[in-house]
Amino acid sequence: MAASQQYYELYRGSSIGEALIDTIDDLINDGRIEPQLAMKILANFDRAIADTLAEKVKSRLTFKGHLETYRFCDDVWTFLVKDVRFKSDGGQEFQADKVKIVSCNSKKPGEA
Amino acid sequence: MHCAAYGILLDLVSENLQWQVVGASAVSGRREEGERATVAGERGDPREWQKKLSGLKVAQLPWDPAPVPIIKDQPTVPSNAKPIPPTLPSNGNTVTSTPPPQPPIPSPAPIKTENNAPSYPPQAPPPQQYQVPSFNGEPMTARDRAAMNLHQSFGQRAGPQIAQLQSNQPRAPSQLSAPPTGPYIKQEDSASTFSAVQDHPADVKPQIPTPLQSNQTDGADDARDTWATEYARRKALAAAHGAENDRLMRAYFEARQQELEGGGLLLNLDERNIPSKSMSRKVNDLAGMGPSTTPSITRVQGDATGDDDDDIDDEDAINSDLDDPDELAANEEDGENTDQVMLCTYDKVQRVKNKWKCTLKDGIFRVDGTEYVFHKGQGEFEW
Repeated sequence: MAASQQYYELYRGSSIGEALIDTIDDLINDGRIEPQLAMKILANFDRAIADTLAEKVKSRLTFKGHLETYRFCDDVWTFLVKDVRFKSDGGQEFQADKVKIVSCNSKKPGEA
Repeated sequence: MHCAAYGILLDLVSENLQWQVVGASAVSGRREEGERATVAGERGDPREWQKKLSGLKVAQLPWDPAPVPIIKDQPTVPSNAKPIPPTLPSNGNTVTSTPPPQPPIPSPAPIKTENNAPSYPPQAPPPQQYQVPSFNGEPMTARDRAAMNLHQSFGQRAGPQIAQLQSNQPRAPSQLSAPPTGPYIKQEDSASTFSAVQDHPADVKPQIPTPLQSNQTDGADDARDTWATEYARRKALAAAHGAENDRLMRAYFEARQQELEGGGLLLNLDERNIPSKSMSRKVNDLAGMGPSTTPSITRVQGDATGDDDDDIDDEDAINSDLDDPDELAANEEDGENTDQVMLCTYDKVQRVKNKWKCTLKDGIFRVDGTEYVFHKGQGEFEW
């Protein structure tokens, strides 16, 4: 948090983030770590996962669907898309009947 | 492809938190030293996190096929072999083989097995001169025997202890010289062991110039509240999508299994499948069982620590006058609450009439119970 750059807390909602949060909560309830440390770990997670996604992940994805709901609030786009067909650059295809997309601005407030 | 990328992702995230050593570090660690010491002291963590992740079954994870405990050869942390973190007071005396009559030596000292005296931090007492105990025919006192035993076991490194033993002074733990400002203390009777818990991280890594001190000035309870709020918020979000339910059923059966065979008494301790506290709470709520029937002891803490009940209450309490139940119901109908969520950032969102084009970046999303990651995503929708 104290770092010059800020990171979104968005990815805490992913599976890996939720698993981490559950684990930390167990540790706190067991008295094995301090809550202050827990928040620092989450801040580190925000940075680590953002950096990792930016630097290590190369895959591309295209998808089409029927936009049911769109919303733009506080620089965050939220889409509810139905009948989505995904296509990855590896030729893999899959679909979902319903996907909610939560998307923050890739340019953070200070950067623009 | 995505699964492999996800595995890399997990590795790197874990690595960055110093919980797993995977090759060369890709992301430089900028975390505070004391913090790293504390996390590194918790040897059990990566497996717990990994276990939880495996339970989610969103991807084939690197550790899944062969669930062998990961061997960490992190050179900075002693006592690698111990799955139980050294902060637990119960194993304070297991390292030394001192006889019973020895006066109690605070546990931190014997753990410094890999650091010899010259690398001691300033706050550690300098190696004191001591007389090597020897059996010279005279009847030995218990103190002498203890000193001799220490010398035989640890040689030069036990110098300070033996010197203190011989000078017959109770050893004053160096860490306790700091004024004991009150960090958050969970239970009243754990106050005595708590100082040991606090002191350990600094002692485990003596080369850190500024060890983690417990003299924070901000209110510790605030931090706990912050955590509880964050936890409640995340839980509320997580509760919004229902994929948990399948796993909950499985956990329920596992809990029943635990009861049947006496909570795993028939297994080796490290083979036991101990259900996570949060999961057992959920299972309890599901089954309507009282806390007395479970091995969980977290109930002792009362309700202020992000209990599941609290989450529900909070939801009702906050802005209860302003919340519009119709709107929530409408969201429900729209399917806003789905567990197929994509979290990403956007570069550009364009619209021409009813055609939308989104250029997305750095996404994680879950479809049909599988989680995928992408670097760039292009979405085209019709409204």
